[in-house]
Amino acid sequence: MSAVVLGEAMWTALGRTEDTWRRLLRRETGIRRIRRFDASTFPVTFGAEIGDVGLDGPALYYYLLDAVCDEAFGTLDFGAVPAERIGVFFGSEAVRPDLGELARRWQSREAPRLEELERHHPAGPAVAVAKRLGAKGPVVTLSIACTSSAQAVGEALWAIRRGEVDVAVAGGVDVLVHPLMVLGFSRLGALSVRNDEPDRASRPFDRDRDGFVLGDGAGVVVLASPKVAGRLGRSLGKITGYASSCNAWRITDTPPDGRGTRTAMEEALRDAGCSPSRLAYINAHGTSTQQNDASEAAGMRAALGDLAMKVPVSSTKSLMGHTVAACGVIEALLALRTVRDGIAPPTANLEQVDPECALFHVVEPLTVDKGVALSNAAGFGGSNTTIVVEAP
Amino acid sequence: MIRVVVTGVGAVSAAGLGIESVRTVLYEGRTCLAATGDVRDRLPIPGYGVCTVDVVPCLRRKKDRKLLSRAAELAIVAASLALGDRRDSEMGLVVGVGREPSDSGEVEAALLASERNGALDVGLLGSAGLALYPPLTPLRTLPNLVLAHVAIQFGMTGESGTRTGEEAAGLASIVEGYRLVSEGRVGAVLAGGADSLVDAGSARDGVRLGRLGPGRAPGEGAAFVVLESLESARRAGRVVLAEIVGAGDQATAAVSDLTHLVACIGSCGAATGPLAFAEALSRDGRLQVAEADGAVAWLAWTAGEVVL
Repeated sequence: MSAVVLGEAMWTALGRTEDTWRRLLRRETGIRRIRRFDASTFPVTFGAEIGDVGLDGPALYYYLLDAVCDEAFGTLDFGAVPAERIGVFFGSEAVRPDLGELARRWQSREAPRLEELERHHPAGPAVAVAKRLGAKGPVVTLSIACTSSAQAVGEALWAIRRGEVDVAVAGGVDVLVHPLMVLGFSRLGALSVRNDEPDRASRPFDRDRDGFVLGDGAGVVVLASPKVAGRLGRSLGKITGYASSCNAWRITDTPPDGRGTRTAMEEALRDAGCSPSRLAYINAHGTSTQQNDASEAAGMRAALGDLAMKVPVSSTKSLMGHTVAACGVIEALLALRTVRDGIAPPTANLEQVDPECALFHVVEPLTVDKGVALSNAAGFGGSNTTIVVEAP
Repeated sequence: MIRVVVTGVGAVSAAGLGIESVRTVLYEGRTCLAATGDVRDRLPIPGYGVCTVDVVPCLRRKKDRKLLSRAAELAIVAASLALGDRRDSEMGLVVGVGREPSDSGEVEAALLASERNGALDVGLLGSAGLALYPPLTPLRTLPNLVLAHVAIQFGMTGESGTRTGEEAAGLASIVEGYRLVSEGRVGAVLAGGADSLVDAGSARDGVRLGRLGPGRAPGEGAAFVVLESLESARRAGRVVLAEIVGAGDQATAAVSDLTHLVACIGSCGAATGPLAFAEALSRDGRLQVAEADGAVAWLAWTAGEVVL
């Protein structure tokens, strides 16, 4: 059984839902020099930040969450569904702290306030959304690095399938353009250091890629069982399949043969009862790191066989950066939008395809069939997740 | 619906290795809490429930240890006990973990080096602070890395997930493991939780959150169960410890009383539920555990040999 999409929203460095989509199709980038803090002394001075909000730290985090919920919930009448039949599934890492506050406490040896501890917890977003809706069904937080919100969507699908809930809200939010994130990922050597040309820094599958770009983002999707969906609103599409796998390889490396990606894609298609020949588009995880892109491409070739050079693939991270805990839901929604509108957004900066990343890459907006799409996510620690979506 | 049974259990706590050690101290009414030489910010707690474990014999490579958080160490030891010699590359894995303390001390040096005129200078953080920021910090603190380390050490590539949510997270992971098997998504799954609250930051945060205090000491531990279909367990001739007959999670429910367990070994955060479940497996029963915000995971089971 599939789950019907009744509401959707995102906020990325490219703007709100419609702005993100419009600007992706125009190849406009959201990656620029960091303005949120003085990053001039940092190894990386750019990111895909959501600016002009005037907030930072947890305040920004929850502001984005509220905003995407406002948009996705719209006029949906949640009151028509018993509270026990509404579940909330969120992908979240720890909420990034307010750095000034953290430093002040270090100096004063003052303990964090109760509210601070509650809001910083990974479960904070799921709890906040559940309280907002008065939901009394499952309230689940999944913290699996960059696959977090993809798994949240998948687990929401399963909760609907098993009849546990009638309506499930799934999503993710993350604020990565933060001094500690820039420091931490720089120390790991995971970030692009193209400080002189930020707009060309995120270049998934390109031969000259040198790392990913940190981004801010939030996304949320409202799912319902087919039986209940008709009473609540208009269908924007369906989530039809989901699977995850674990590489069990190394903490930061991915297996060159892409076995985890392959397993997740094959199992998700099987779960959806969908043949690869029906695929109209794949939104790749495509981080722009050497290892991820080569491994993911190998996994996609293994999963798709002869179709690998025929199914259009793009990575929207090339224009809006890597939003980690939020990227799974955002990119699943972009995959759905692609097959709903019949046009695929491009991978920017893909000038010379790395031979190890050979696929049917979309480098200009491309007309595609209105049908079925996949969205891949992969994370530190070796988790892989694939979501299958279908146009209404 | 596929019938799901428990065929393996492993635990580590302040009581020692294995679930029998927990049972022994529970039945003897003995505490494993100990005061440490460190006054730990003079918190109003009765002591600490600290595990004594050596993870190295469980590792594929000795050098992997430097990447492990304390919770990951405990998880690997408990997983090793639950799995025994069994290795199944398609096995699923679901792990409940707790919160990272609000300041673990890892970034303290970087922040202190970035002070200018009594305030944080972000510019200094990017220069002087950079070299003092431990490169392995992100790899020790991301919530899903407990799962990743267990998967790597035991070669588990099936469906996997990490639940976060304080005391309910571990039991919610077993609930999720039950679903993975009962819905045919995996043939077998290792599910449980691991957590450590015995560092100064976690203990202080726990007191502030009302989860630790007089009569509720910080502890640490890990517990896992192996769940699989009744059919595969029978085919492989495995000993069935119990059959899971119901599971769920929801936002509101009664809170079970785990005071007896916590009094003996301390509050083990996300590992508390799995430890209590593992200890109680030999008896028919039902267990409920609540987390701070009211989310609850519950399991019901029938102990011993399964009647067809």
